[in-house]
Amino acid sequence: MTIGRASFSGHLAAKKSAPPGPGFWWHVKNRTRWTFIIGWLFNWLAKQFSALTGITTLTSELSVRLFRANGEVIDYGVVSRRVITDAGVAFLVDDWDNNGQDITTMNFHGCGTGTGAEAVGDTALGAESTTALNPDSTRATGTRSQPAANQYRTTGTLTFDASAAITEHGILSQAATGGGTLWDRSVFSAINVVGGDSIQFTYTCTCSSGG
Amino acid sequence: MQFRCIEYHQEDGAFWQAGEVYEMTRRDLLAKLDVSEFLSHFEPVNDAAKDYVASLEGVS
Repeated sequence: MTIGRASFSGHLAAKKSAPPGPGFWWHVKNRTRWTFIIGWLFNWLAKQFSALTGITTLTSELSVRLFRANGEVIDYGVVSRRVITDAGVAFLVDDWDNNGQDITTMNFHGCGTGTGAEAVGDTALGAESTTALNPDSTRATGTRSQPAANQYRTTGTLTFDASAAITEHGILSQAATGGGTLWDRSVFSAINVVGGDSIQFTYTCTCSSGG
Repeated sequence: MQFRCIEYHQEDGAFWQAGEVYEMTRRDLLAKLDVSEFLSHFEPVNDAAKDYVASLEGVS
């Protein structure tokens, strides 16, 4: 008869799994832009201001995911937090005034290669992509949702059939490029795409009521 | 993932009203300081939300 003893041992390792980002230096480049810094700061201040005073503010943020043609996913996170335009808020008031505008049409995502800083006076993207898109000259129609009672979100995906260095995004009121009212324009460091790549833009607008 | 708000809740400039259904992404929830505490104000509505809540249960 053989008498023995067996014992088992091992170790458990856990790793949080998430899509990789664009890399440290891309974030450094994007987040050290003056407009990103003031966007981050003023966005936070606006929410605190609303909570403190009860005065309504509108803030926004844009997140980006790049889907490579080979299946790779790159999560850029929040790339910009400004800016809602004069034309956009005028459109909102026009709709409220029942003049034929419809704020629900602010659901189309355009992108481009313009690099001039976003400004409230913007009425169009700096250099909107047209033939690089598939289909040509067609903005992405967003999927609308409400992550909170005071937040409107639209998520749209643009697919490319040519190479481009995408540096700007806009929420606009019509699907065809070259027209419509610009609600919000965001500028960010270049996201390089080639034919077959897609960019998913997630835009969230927060209407703070002072609660 | 769809969640129905059980009781009024607010944080970080956003608020949720009782009885309303909201669409949240995994990224939204991961951004919360304490997702379990946040979700205590909600009940899951669709399968994706139920699966997410189930994945949190028993985890400490």
